[in-house]
Amino acid sequence: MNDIETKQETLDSAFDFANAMYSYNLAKENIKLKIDNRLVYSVNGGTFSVTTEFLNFLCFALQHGEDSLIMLDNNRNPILIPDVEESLEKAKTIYDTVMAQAYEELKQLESSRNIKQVFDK
Amino acid sequence: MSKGIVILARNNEHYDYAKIAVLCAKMAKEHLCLYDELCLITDTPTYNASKESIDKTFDKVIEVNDNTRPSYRRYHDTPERDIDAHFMNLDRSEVYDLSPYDETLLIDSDYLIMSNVLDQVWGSVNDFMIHYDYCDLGHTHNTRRAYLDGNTIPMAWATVVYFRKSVYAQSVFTMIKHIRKNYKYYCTLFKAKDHLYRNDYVFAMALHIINGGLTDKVPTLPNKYLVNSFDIDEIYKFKSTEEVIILCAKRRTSERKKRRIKEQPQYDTYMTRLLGADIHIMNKKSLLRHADALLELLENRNV
Repeated sequence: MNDIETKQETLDSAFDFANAMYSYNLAKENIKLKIDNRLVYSVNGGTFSVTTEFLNFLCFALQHGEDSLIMLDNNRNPILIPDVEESLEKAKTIYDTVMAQAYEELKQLESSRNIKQVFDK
Repeated sequence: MSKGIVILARNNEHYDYAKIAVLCAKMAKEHLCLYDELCLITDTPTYNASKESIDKTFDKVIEVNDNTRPSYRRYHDTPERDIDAHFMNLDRSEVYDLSPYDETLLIDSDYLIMSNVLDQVWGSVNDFMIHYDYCDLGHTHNTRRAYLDGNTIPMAWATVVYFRKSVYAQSVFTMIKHIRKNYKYYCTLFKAKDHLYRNDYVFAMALHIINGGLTDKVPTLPNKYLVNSFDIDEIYKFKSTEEVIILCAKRRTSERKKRRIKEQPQYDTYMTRLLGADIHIMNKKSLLRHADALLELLENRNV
């Protein structure tokens, strides 16, 4: 095998690797996309993204003895959260469920070197 | 307050939209529980062709026989195959008047519900909600928002629409009907391509006008963006009623093109998965190819 052929082969394997990385990153992005779309909690006609900031704020309000709370939702509407404790519990359940599923998916993805194998399982 | 999911379906010469609508309704039944009824708006030939499965799936069927000349469009079925067929998409503007519900969730028949997120629309403080942002499963587009001609007004996706019977929603639909009648004029005004009547364009224009140009004030649906699988993608398989594996087609980059023989297809295919999130599948032929398998999965779940 001459120099040119060797270089060509190296380049081919680099392109193959790029392909594999693309598939891997695509799968990872689609897990994030699912997280974005499912981490939502609706109460009293408003919809909130369940972020750590949202959970912390509810927790903070509760610790300061606030039973109800008005917050801006995703569509910038001021929404009354009538029962902070109940909302915190429900939002935390959504957060835990989505995160646990995403964690499992990602672990499965990282433990395999072949995307098709992961999906065919 | 009555709450209903409305699906529109009209068969054309190549596509069995009724079958897709039945599939869509069954997926909604599987994952959503806070609505009162499922309603199909269709025409008499479509209803007669699949009467049994429609009656079994839907709580209500509304027959509309619109004699307006339908659009004609090119459907893609993966990058390898194109199909030219009629596109009966004009009756979406009438949904406000046709829907028998106080609150309506209007969904495209090719939108597969694989999560319970849309249960959160009911009782919203917003009279109207739609998606402006989207994401394609192949992540081939670098942006989350499309514009009518690249830089005029943002495009709304009429794939999923929530509305409550209200002055605001009624005004939006009145404007939609007006734009539909004067489609060429409004396409010129907003610099949109006018060769095909697109509900997405009409909704975007109507919302832009109704909101006095403040499109950002239009509330978005609970799931932040619409997840699209384009018509060049192919479904590989449904693993369950909430998991789909898709082969996403991606146009080759120019430097890779140089390295390939000309006769080879100009797309690369990548496999990806979506689990537990709703998806708009634009390749209807592919959806039809997998419809029986998905229906079987749904049947097995309900045994």
